[in-house]
Amino acid sequence: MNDQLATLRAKRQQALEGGGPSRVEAQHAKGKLTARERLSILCDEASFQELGALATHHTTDFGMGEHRYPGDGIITGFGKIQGRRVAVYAQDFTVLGGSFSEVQSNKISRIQDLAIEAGIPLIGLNDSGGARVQEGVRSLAAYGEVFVRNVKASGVIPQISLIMGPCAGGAVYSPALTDVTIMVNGTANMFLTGPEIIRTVTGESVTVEELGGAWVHNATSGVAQVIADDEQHALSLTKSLLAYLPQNNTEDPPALEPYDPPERMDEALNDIIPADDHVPYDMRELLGLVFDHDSIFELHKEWAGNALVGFARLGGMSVGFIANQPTVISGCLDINASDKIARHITLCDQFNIPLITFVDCPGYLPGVEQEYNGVIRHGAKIIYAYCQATVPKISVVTRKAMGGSYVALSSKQMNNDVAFAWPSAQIAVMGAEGAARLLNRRAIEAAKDPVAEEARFVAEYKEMFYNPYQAADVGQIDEVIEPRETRPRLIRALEVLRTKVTQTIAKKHGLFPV
Amino acid sequence: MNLQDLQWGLMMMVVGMGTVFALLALLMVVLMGIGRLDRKRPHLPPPPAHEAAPAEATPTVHIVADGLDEDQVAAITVAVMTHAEHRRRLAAPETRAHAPGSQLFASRWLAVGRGRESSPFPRERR
Repeated sequence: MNDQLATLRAKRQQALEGGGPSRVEAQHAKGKLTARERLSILCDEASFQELGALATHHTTDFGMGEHRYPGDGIITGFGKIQGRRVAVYAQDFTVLGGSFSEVQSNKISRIQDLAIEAGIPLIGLNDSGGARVQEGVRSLAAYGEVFVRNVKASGVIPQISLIMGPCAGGAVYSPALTDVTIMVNGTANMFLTGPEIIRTVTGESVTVEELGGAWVHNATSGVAQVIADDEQHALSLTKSLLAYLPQNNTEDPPALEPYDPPERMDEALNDIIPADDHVPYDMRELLGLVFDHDSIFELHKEWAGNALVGFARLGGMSVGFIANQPTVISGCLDINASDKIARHITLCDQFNIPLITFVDCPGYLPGVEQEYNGVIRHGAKIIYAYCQATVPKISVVTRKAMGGSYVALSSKQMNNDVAFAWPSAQIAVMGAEGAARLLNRRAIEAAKDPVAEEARFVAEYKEMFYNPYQAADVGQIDEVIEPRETRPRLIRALEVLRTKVTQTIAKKHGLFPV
Repeated sequence: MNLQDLQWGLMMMVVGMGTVFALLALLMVVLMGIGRLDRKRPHLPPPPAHEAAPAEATPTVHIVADGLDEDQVAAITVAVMTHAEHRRRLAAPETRAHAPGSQLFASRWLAVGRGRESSPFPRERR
């Protein structure tokens, strides 16, 4: 028995050492942690239970028989984060560059299946040079095994991907199929085809960082939702993000003991909207005054800044927020903002997280480029997502709610549950200046003083529509409230709506306007 | 009833009422006396302290507890508050209203309703 134990311990030790001290040193030299170090930070102390630590590949081509490592470059298992069970996998770059193999696929698939069956979140730590070329088509098929389970788990358990190194080729689709992707600035990159291939095919010269760095995917492409300063920050953000998500689609997110008075009314809210319509204000400041102190977790912070999405807390309850940002292109909706909002609505809906929408939107961004690139199709995503969502939905019109954007952004017809408006709300089909030219062009042109006539019409139009009372009169707004009352009103509405259920029509699935 | 009886009755009434009122007056005097004895003497304001010139003031360190000075206590307080806020951001167990998934507030209404939302096809009865 002692010999058998010694053999087991030796194998375990070999698995713990990964690719060996030199590879570990090289990993550290790049400013990166090893897979086991990452897991030790992510999971509660001594909570990680590894599965498949001794699995090894059986490929002998290209001399691979001499490169066999227990675990085959990936660590999979279960752990706990703040006492909550999670399934995790971490690619180990020190072992054969973390190359994606059939064994890796089997191990990930196994942990995915167990996570779905147990109804617990799945967290993937990606750091891989790509497919293991020596395995040929088997490594390609291996990707497919993971993708199919990503889709199976979508909407059932939260899936979070951390990109902590290279993630190239087919491997990028697994993070793209998960709920949230977090990238580490400086060391993480994602791309389908690398700089060498691009130079050969298109003649474009680009570096890895320029092509698929963390900033590119957080600020330009919108592939990733969160950027982290370093690996420890990324792991800390993962834990914070998980605090807003439930274990699975049948449960609710963790609710905290209320730590910020529910009845708190911040007087600063009454003065936050500038008297001049054309002067912007910072929606982030507004959100900070309404939600629980220090509770906002923003997603897509660097992408499509004209819309803000993320998670926050109200009375300790997890909520998702959507807001227009007047400081960026006046808060207009465009293609990217539409994608960002629609994705977040769907994310919150699948995990029973109520939606709070703050509306200050003068409309869709006009422009030939927007129309050519399909702003209609993208804008329709918001409508589809809102109409499809069954979670509690509450809207607050803070200032402008014009035209189609009013309808799209959680109006009553989008199955909105409660609609509030501030006295500064302006709910109209279009802006006053545009309406003046459209409705009174002939009268303005015929007038002795066209400028004065236009000004007179604009003033008349504003008096009629630039307020929330007509909308309240016809039942489109449930209540006009003082801005400082927003927080207690939202919390009371949520208390009622948290047991909301709706009847859905039986169907296979709809056609989301992609 | 003759006149003598009436006089005797009136006299008894005067004596009785006089006795009662006399005792009540005595009681009032006694209570007032007790009240006066119990009344605290107003405290005179302390004599104005001899104000030392600012230049003469010497800095003092107040020992709060366990050998810690005020700066140490302040630093520990800030550290504890920061740690508590960090734990709250992570929804750590001690900050939660209930265990995840326990749905303490949820009713059968919610459980059944969400089940129908997820699988709207009614199950066939056999």
